[in-house]
Amino acid sequence: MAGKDSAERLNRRKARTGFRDESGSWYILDNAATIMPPTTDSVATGLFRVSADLDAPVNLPSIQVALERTARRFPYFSVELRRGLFWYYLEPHEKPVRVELDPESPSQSFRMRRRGTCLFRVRVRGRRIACEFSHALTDGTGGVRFLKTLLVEYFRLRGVEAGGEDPDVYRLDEKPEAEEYEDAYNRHFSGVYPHPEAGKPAFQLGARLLPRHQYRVISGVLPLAPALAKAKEFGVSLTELLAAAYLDALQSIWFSAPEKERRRQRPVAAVEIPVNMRKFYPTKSNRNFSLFVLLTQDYRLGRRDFAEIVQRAHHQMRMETDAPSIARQISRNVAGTRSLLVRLVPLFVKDFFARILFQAFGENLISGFISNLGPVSLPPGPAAHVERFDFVPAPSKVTKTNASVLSWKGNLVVDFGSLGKSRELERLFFSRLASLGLPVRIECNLREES
Amino acid sequence: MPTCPDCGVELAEDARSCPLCGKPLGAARPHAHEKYIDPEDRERLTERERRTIAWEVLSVSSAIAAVAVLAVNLIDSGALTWALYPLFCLAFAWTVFTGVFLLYRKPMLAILFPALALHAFLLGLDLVDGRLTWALPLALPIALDAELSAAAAWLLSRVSKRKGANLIALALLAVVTLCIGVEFTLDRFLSGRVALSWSAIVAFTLVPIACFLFYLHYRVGKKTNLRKLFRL
Repeated sequence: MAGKDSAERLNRRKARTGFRDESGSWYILDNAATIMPPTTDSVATGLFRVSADLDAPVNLPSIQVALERTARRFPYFSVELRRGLFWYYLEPHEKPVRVELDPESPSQSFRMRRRGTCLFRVRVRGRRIACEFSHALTDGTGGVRFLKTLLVEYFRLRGVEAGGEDPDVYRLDEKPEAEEYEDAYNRHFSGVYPHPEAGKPAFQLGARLLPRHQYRVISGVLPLAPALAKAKEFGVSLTELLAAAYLDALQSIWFSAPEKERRRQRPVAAVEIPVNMRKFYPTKSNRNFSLFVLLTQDYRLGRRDFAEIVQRAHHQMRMETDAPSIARQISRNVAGTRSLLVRLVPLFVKDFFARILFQAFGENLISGFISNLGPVSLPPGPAAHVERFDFVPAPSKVTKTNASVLSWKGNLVVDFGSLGKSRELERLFFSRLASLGLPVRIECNLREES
Repeated sequence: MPTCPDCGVELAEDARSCPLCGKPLGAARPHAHEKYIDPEDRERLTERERRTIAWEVLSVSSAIAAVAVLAVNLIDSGALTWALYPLFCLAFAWTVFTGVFLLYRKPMLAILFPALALHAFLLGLDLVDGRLTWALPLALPIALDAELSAAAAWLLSRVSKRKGANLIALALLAVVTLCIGVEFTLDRFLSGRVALSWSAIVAFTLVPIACFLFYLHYRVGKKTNLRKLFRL
């Protein structure tokens, strides 16, 4: 019992990320964020985006005021990255965050290690308000909570009252609780388990890259109810159905290559599905708190039909999201950063090895990811004025194309972000959904692709 | 409510341009510059007009001074003798000012030009009496040393993101390199043997002060908490 209490106390101490002293407030990065600074650059920025399309042009003075007020409520987001001797840490961004013009390509030209760079930014154009967050700060859940709070405040300034409560919309007159920026991985570390099996290098799209700083987002909008009904028909969740469509598209690309070409390609595809850990562990944290399930398919065993891929995706998801499997993933991630040996290594050495390890055991092991944020909600007042939400994945030079999904007002929005020239994966994915009888409307952010 | 035609966002009622893309709004075009210029109304002069007036005033003043010096020398001795020195100095000052005026938009060239002009001036001054004696072994190396020390300090101060005590430290280090260079040049010119003495004392005195100032600036002044830096 005493041992359990002391482990609990240690977890709580390790989960603390915010500190205050004579130099002001400062924060440390959560467990999942530590890999971000050394492995990102101005193209693979590690920035994901959540955006809202309103029913009228955005009012610039109002959104600026709303942003300043919301940023004060989320002081743990208004930060810059700094280097310590052993670890990175976060210091408050001194200047007020300014609303920027939203360019054609999202999530580009951002260097998180540059001094004076706030780790999130808010961009507007026309009817769209977009928030881009570095994964060093938060994950999709934290990003959406910020955007929803910003939208409610914006509409309040425009004379539209919320007209109801939403647990993910924060009151701006309240002080942030320490639990909002706790490192939930450390808080829920339950002991050292054997490491999960290391994956194998996965098949990846060999597409050539778009010109530097072009990031293509192909969005597919489809009605939610028929999509849910189709998933139910297969006896799986919507995420599993979409992941299966993703695996099916990859399979088509792999088998469409000539035999000679195929022999050079890796024969295993692996699609990563981020799982929101807040469903399993209680926490108010707005830092990263997701783990990943890998859905794999070995092409050496031959081509599989779609129904088979769907069932395999369903069972693999079930197998990997039980309590011991999750606990051992947390154990692997947390135990590494708690080891004295790792902690004593100077930061520049850590950075060097982090890049190598990330290349070998990170992105190299996946063909792409599809992240489902689930349904987004807003209080009724603002909800009446928001036509659509989007969730765009962070750009990756290795997997090139990844997808993010959310649903809003009876529509499912699937956003494919890609640094690659080929649109084949997107085409095959949406064709598969269309072949299931789901009507998909497609849009692309790039007017001209060079 | 005005709307930016480019960004499509609504702007404040009194906005003259869009804060996002910077484009002026149709109703608020910049005022056309009026042709009539009142020299006493400085607010209505552009930067370039102000610089042109300053250059004209300096050119006329230099010409008056040159004519006066020349006249006094000719009346006094009937030939061009000592006036060559002040004339040379006036020509140097005018050339440097004109060069900086012309190269105003190219800061690197505007700095480089006076530096090169100084070497030409020193060389020319030495040659006034028809013999090259002190310029090459003494004046030019010392001038070069001073310029390089100042340039290094300036460049380092430019790249410094937070300016404060570190600038004083850089200036002290520039003084140290200048003193060492001056003593080195003087020793070689006077005795042909280099033995640093007084410049070493300057270095021993100023370098620790510079180090202390750097420490103050980058550690104590920034209120950096060592817990942040050395957190394990």
